[in-house]
Parts: sequence; structure tokens; C-alpha cells
Amino acid sequence: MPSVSEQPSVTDEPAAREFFSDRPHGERERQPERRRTTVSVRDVSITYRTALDRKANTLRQRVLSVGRGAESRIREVRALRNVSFEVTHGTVLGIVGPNGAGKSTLMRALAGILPPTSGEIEVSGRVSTLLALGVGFNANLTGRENVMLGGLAAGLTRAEVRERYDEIAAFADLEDGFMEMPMRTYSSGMFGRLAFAVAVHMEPDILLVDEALSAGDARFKHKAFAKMQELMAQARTIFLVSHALGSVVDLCNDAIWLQKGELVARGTPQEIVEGYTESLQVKRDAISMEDL
Amino acid sequence: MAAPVTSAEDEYLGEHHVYRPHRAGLPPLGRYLSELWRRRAFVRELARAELKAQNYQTVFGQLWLVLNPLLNATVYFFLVYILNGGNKVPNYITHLLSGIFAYTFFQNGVSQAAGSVAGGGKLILNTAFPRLLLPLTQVVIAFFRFLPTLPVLAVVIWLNNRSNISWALLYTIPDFALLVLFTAGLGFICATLQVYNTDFKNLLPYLLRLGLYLTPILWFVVDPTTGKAASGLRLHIAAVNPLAPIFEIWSNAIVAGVGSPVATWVRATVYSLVLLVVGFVVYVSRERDYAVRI
Repeated sequence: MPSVSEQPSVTDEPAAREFFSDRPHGERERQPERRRTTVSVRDVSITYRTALDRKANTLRQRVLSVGRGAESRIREVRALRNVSFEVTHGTVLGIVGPNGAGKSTLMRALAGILPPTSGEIEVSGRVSTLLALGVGFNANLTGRENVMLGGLAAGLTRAEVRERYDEIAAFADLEDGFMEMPMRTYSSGMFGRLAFAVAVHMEPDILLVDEALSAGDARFKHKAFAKMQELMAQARTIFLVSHALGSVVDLCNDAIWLQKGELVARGTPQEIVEGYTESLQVKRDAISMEDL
Repeated sequence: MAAPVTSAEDEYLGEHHVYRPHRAGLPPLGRYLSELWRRRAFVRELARAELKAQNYQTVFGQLWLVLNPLLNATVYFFLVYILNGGNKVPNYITHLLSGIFAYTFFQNGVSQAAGSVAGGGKLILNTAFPRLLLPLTQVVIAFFRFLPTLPVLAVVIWLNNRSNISWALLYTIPDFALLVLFTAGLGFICATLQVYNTDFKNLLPYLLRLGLYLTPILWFVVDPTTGKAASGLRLHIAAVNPLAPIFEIWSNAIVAGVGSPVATWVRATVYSLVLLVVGFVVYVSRERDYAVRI
């Protein structure tokens, strides 16, 4: 059994109130604009051990490999290597990089889901996550139940979730009656739309969006884009992971480029996207720039 | 509605988190438990939703919950009757059924709790919350699934064991509470094992079935007719099986209508509490790892 006792753990703060904010509507917008650090990532590395063999995490394999040096089957993945950056309030930070660059790992670390192996992450404000997998952990329960459970798990009260529910349902705009149907009956587009609706209606200070804008049809994309701009106008801090480089240029005012877990560069979205596309040796054509 | 959380030094942004690597496994317990308590509505809501999905509130849904242990008990009755050479033991049906019903709770609670982390995939990947909520909810669900068997048990006691009904039945309440703690503790441990060994779920049913045979459910520790303690192997098993004292108290109260020796209570209490604490520590010290593992 791989050693887990050395796995780091988040302890200093309740790693819990992310995802949904429990602040009354509108309070956020009345606050004076101040440029200050919202997220500070200091020399963060995240390493995990993955088994090369899918069956390695089984009792059967452990028994069969007794005396055969099973440790060689485990590989350490250094998902993030000494990454440091700071983000001020109101920044919309685009994060680009090839597959496996550590983008999603960084997002989960910011949300307090994955603890850093070394270094420190400081986050001021409520975080709402919109990671690629979306809401709906239990596909046998209805959309309504999943929204309620997600909110309760994040630490909201029932009343607070109910307060936002109608807006969420209206924004997700699922076909008739789908909110009351088990989520296993949803299409992937419906999943994505509901996830997006939940994340943006929780008045987050910091919104983490991981490749989720691609959910839904053209009409929904348009709505999602408009909502993002609305959130930006309210000077919220947004982290946007996207392979659609056009949306990084259009939506973001700052960008970082991750590669193999390392922070390659930081700059304006144009600079970063140019550098990144050059490194990929692809032209900045319609395909790589595809909007949202 | 809960008051918005604001800290004095950071009124503007409201909340402040610092995430650092942490070598020692356990998070600060006070805060962990208060975060857990703050989310008690989650337990209620998930239990309600899952029970609804299992048709709990319909007549046939409840009938099914009773039918399953009843069929099991029927199988075991014939098994034991035949192995016993056809000797009838009075009150045996009460002993068997009450034991099977309670064990079904234990079995459901442990096996559902074991799968709860692996089944909570998206929630674990996307939301930071005390992971203990997941197996806890499953124990609560198992309890609700146990409730419909109580009226059936009452009827069986009335028909089969009327003469032994006494105030001792009240002992079943604290005894069942101990069983809940025992179930939760073992459920936490199994949930952790399941995360690290994906095929643990294949092994667990065998262990739980073995547990049934090693617990005084199909057999008596103290024969209710002669009042003599079982001898040899049975006594030995009852002495070492941590689950046995809870079921001894259970049977004494329901079948014999008497209280149990203090020593049995002490053993039942110590085993339950130790298992709960060990299960809590094992689970919580590793829960930060779950998002990576599943």
C-alpha cells in the first residue's frame, strides 16, 4: 500500500465555504474598488503518485505482487513545480497550456480540494468552482436535488440554496421538467449548462472556470459569454482555463502559460497566446482560436 | 439564513484561506466537527433524496425492505433446523429474526458507507467539504431502512415470545445506539480501504457474511431454555468477536426479557467507541487524499 501519511493536508482554514457564497445579493458590488491581492500562490508544487497499472490499486494485485517489488509500478507525477504568482482583485486570468500542463490541478489547489505538496496558497474571498466535471455527483438524483446537495455540501443553508434556485433553473434553461428528472437522463450539454448556472449564481468572489464554457449550444454560449462579462464588470476575480485561445484573448486581462507543471510566462493575453501558439508550431488560425 | 461570515481584518473580501502542506494527518478537530455540524442539512437532504429514489415512501418499497431480511431469516431457519437434527428451540424464531434485522442494518450501513467515497466522485473532485459527510449519510439511510422491520419484529415477538416481554426491552435502545457507533466506525474504515483498493467491494460481502456466522444470531451464547452458557467454540467466538456483546444484549433483552451483565455492556461500549474513534482517525487523516485517488 503506498504511503499516504505524508500527503499534505489543508488545515489552517476551513476548506469548505467555496463554491457558493453566503453573502446577500448585491453587497459585493457596493464595495469600493481596491487593487489588492486576492490569490497568492507561493512556490507551490503538487506531486502525486499514480499507478501505471490500472489494477495496481486492488487487493488482488497487492497479493499477486508480493515479493515482486510492486513499488516500481508507481510513478510520481509532478503536476505543478514551484509555481508562484499573485493575482489582484478584479483580474480575469487566462491559463493556457497543453494537456497535462497542470492547469486543472492548479484550479483544484486554488479551491482547496487538492492540498499543495510544498509551498503555500493564500486565497481571500469566496471561491466558486466550475471544473470540467460539473455538478451532479449522484446521477440517480434529480437536477434539483443535486443543486441542493452541492450547495449544502459547500456549506450553505437550505434557505440560501432555495433563494438562488429559481435563478439557476432559469439560467440553465433546461427543457421542460428536466430539473425534476434524474441527472442520468441529461445530455452532456445539459450537465454543463446546469453546472455553469450553479457556479455563476453563487456570487463568488473568485470564480474558477475549467473548460466549461464549451458546454451547451450556440445560444447558451452566447448567454454564458454575456454572464462572464457581467461578472467581470462587477470586478470579480476569474480564473479561466481554456483551449479556446480566442476566448482567452477576448475575456481575460491577464494570462499565464503553464507547461509540464512549470510557469513558463506571464503577460497580457495576446503575448501569452502568441508565445504559446508559436511553441505549439501551429498557426493562429480559426481552429486554435475558436471562440469559447 | 446564516449570517455572512466576515473577519474583522478582512471585511472587504470576507473570507480568507491559506492552504499549506500538512504532514500530520488530522485537521484541527474542533473546526472539522463544526464544519461537519454546519452541514447536517446535507445528511438529511441526501438521505431523503436517496430513500426517495429507492421508493422508501411507498408501501411496496417498505415491504421490500422487510421481505429481504425475512427471506434471509427463512433460509437460515431451515439451515439451522436441519443441521440441528430437527430439534426445536422455543423462541428461536424471535432470536433469529431480531438478530437478522439488526445485522441487516449493520451490513447495509457498512457496505453502503464503504462505497460512499468512490460513489461521491464529482462532489469530491469539485467541492471542498468534510468528507465524513458521505459515509455518515449512508449510516443514516441504513437506519431508516431498518425502521420498517420493527413492526414485523413486534408481531413476531407477540406471537412467538409473548411471555418474555418485559421492561428489559428498553435495553435495546442504548444497545442499538452502540450498534450505530460500531457500524459508523467500521463503515469509515471500509470506505478508506475501498478508496485504496478498488476491489475491496468484492471482498466485503464475504466478510460481512462471515461476520453474521461469527455473531450470536443463528446460535445462542446463553441457551434461553436451560440458562446454560454455550460451551467450547461458540463461547470462544463470542468472547473475541467485538460485535458479539451488542447482539448478546440484544437477544437477552428481546428473547429472554432480561438485562445483561455489566461486563457485557462494558465490552459492547468499549468496542463501539474504540472502533468509532479509530474509524474516524483513519478516515479523516486520509480524506485530503481522496480527490487524488478517485
